[in-house]
Amino acid sequence: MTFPSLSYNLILVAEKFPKHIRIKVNEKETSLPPNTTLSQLKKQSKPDADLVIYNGFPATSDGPLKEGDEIVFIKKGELPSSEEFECLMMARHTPGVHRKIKKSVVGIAGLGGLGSAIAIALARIGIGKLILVDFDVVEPSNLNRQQYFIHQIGTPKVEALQENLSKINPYVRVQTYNEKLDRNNVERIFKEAEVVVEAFDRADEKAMLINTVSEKMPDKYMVAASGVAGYGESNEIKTVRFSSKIFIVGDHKTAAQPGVGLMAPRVGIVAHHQANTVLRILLGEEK
Amino acid sequence: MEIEVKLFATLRDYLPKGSSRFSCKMGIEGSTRVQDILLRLKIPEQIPKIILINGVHGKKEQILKEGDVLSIFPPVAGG
Repeated sequence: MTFPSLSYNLILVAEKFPKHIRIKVNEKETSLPPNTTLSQLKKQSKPDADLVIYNGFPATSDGPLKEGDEIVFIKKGELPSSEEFECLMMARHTPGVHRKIKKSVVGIAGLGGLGSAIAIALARIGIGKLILVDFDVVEPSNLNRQQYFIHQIGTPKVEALQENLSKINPYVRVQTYNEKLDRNNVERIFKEAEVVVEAFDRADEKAMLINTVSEKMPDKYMVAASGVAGYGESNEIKTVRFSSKIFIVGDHKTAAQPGVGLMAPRVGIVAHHQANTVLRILLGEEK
Repeated sequence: MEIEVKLFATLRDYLPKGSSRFSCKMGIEGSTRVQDILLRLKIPEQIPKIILINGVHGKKEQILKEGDVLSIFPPVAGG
């Protein structure tokens, strides 16, 4: 009696159980039987989707899916689950980077043009926790540069920003303090933070915060700003490492004063320099 | 005794003539404080300052010693 060869057996098995294809559905790796069509997949995984994105473009026709396809089903305005958020952050940032960002705690002192934009940038990348501190309310004149909306005029900034962050990534933990920072409460409020961001307006308060943190909590990293006003050249904005723990971003000379106002573009550049420096610190790039 | 004084940003205007771009050497007595250096360099009291001595937090009343590096940064308003 003779037996069919091993390779012949493998062919039979392969024919009986054709190889599944691997695709990504809403950033999550999924395995499907071959010849599954886009409409079948939609019916299985999200029948109420309003939109289907197929390999980066809105799908216009149906057909069998192939290995490596990336499908995104969208129900307009629906909050993705925490698992979906995790998958999309990992896909965008790589798992190792995402894990570090997600366990990080960052404190932000002052929620004006700098602080509100920094908080949004860090929330978008899925920071673990933000400690937000400001004693002010949103004023109409803030809208030229600060990340608030008309319906929030008169609302405490901590409250307004928390609302805005929750609409971007509700899985970021946010702790707010509607109070004025001084030498006596800085330590208590920022105890948990790995990095403290100085985003104040007044020069004397900037100096107070940086001096207090470096005196009372010398191991904490600080990312401060100085020289953000006007519309001077974008490339004048620099990040200077003032000590092993203190970074200062700005052109270091242009103070806000009558005739030299604070405006969204330049304040935004500085804010994002600060946010990127925070990220580099969290990822161990600034040891 | 001698120390090095590093002045940042707009404070560079207060460096004595002949200094390098950022810093100068200054002779000190045994009891010279940071405050005395600020007075000698005519840096106005009202300018807010971040003060470091040898890279860690320093105070105006702190007494300086041989070889210390005093760094001062003046933050400006806006945020």
